[in-house]
Amino acid sequence: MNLELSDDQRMLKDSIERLVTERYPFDKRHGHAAGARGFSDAVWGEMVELGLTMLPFSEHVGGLGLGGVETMIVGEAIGRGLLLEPYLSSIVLAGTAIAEGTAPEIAAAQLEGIMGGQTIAALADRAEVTATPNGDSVRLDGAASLVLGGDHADVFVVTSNDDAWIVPADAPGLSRRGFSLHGGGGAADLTLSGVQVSNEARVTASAVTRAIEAGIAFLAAEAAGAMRAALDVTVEYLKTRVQFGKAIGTNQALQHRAAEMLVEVEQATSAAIYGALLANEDDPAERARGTAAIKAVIGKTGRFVAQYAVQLHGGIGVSEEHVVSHYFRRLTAIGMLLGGTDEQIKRLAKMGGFTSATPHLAAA
Amino acid sequence: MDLRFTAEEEAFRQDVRSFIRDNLDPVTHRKMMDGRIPTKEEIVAWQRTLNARGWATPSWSKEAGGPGFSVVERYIFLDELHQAPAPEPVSFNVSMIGPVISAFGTPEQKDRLLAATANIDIWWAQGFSEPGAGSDLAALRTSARREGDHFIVNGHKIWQGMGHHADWMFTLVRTNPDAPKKQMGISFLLIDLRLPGVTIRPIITSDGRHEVNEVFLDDVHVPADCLVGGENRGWDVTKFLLSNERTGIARIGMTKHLIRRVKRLAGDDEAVLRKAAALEAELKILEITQLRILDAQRGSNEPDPRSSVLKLKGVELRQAASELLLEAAGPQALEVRTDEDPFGEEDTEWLGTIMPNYAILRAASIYGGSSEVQKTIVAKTILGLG
Repeated sequence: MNLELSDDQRMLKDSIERLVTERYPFDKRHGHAAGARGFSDAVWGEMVELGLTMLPFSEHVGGLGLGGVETMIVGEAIGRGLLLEPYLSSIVLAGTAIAEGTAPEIAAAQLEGIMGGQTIAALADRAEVTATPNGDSVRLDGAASLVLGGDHADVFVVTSNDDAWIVPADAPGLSRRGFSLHGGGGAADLTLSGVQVSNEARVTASAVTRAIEAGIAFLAAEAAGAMRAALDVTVEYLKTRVQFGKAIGTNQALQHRAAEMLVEVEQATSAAIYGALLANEDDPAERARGTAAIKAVIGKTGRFVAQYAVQLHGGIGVSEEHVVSHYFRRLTAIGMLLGGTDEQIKRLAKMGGFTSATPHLAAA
Repeated sequence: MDLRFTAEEEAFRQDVRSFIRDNLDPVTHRKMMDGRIPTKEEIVAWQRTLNARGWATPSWSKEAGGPGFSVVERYIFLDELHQAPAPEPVSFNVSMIGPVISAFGTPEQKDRLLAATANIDIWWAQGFSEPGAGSDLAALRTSARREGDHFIVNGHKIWQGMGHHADWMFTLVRTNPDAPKKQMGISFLLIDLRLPGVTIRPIITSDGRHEVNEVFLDDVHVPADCLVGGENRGWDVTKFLLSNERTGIARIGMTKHLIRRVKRLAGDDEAVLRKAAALEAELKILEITQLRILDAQRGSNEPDPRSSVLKLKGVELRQAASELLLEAAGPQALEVRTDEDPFGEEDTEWLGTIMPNYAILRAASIYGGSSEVQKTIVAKTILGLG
């Protein structure tokens, strides 16, 4: 057991935190969102330069071959700064599916543009798509909804009744309706009508599962970063806001609320660490159980922390101009994306949870 | 980062589990499985069994006569006891007074008391709370007046858990009523409960059991060599004792045991199983929080204020599990039974303790620093709110 960051990991943390502090102060965020693709091309370019977009992929597909902990470090910083760049959708979700689910030469070719930041990819996991074999190619028909980052994606990984498929956004027969999401970023609904892709575009279903697990681990890190930041800004407010002649943070009722927030922030931090390390777990059942628990817990803690942060800010907490209202919306969205809390609890219950009914000493 | 235990630590876990399986008296184990309270004799027998193995005092250093466990070994050891479930070593002896004697006692006190405390030849009671001094412990009024080589003690102590089993009580008394701060007039005194002037009265709790007591002290003559840590220095000793009490163990294993019982009772009741899964998800994550704090404690002797986080969340989940167990058992659990009732069939869950244990577990967020006290600690020491 060792829960410390290595020196290299600490350096990575410093560099991304510096990027977020310098490029993403809250007053700049609105301008970034107004960019053509809904995020800052300049910041995205800097993230590419820092190597962040190469970080999770193995070396034989051109990546840096780093692990879950490094991705967690990126996620926490993105959560703290409320970044809009498509790291989750293009790198973690679509990128992982391609890296793990295609032959190395195909993965390397596809990932080159994705890691370089020029190509934005998105994973269409909420899809009702039929794949019909057609000689050397496959015909795709159906629809997908709420494709994260899909509003500006250049390429999609679309799940179907038979594995998943890499589909360029300009493929004939593919149409999309892009839209913005509460909490930041955008998504798209897709319609596929007679879209032809080659057999080489196949992405295995197990890689899509890995991608969603990685996505949930990333969301846990993002949530932990956002929650820690929401707590920090709340504590600062409690120390500086004066009412009845004293800082409101001297009131025990408010102190206790802040303390309850910290308990949940620590739990979220633990969930993020668990997610980072679960990437090394070989047993798919154990990964599935852990992932469900992580998502359920960050959904619950995120909502709790977000609600308390707003409450403790008073009226300013519901204003568009205050950062806390943006943490509130982002945390609410994180709780609902990639399977909400109730859905995860249901899955975990179906898998039997972590403890069996067998008495401890009777078990092997 | 790595959450895994080393091969040696995993082997240690297996050792502990096998030891419990092979050495815990079956009747005691059955009672623990049912949620019944073992008798004094059963608890003493188990602690002596552990002591013979060198494990009765998991938090004690080798110098103090303990096993010198690492923080991880200590956690694993207690987790196995909690999950088995087996009685924990008597906390008044092992977690509270033993380390105090070891740190503050005179050589004579160490010789006389440490081994006897580990082997439970002396069963200790805690004499801290008073009717007017609960969370505000320093407001205590029990007085000790020095007369020659004795203290004359008068007062009223309350909430002595298992006090009716006890031979001695470690007590906080006021030795200087005129001290500039109330904390500065307190001494830490060991009192033989067989002395004249000591009266122990039972308090029956909401589980219908006799587990706690109140102790009246009426001109009790306590030899001066029973003072620990020096006259009017009792508050330093107390802070040390309380910080040991708070070295963060969330008792996750106890909650796991309750969840196993829920699952045995739930059968295929989906609503209950989902609530169990929701609890298990939080419990799994709390295990990581526990390991993070253990990891941080490895290099330090300072108490980690995040231990309060463990107590808050640990108790919240344990209470929720006991509530879910009650729900899973249904209204049949309302039938009043006693811990002395005969055992039922081997493979049926004993419902007789579920309602009493649900009721008495509400105390877990009250004793050892109430949840409100823990939140104040978190707000002040971690968040800097004052």
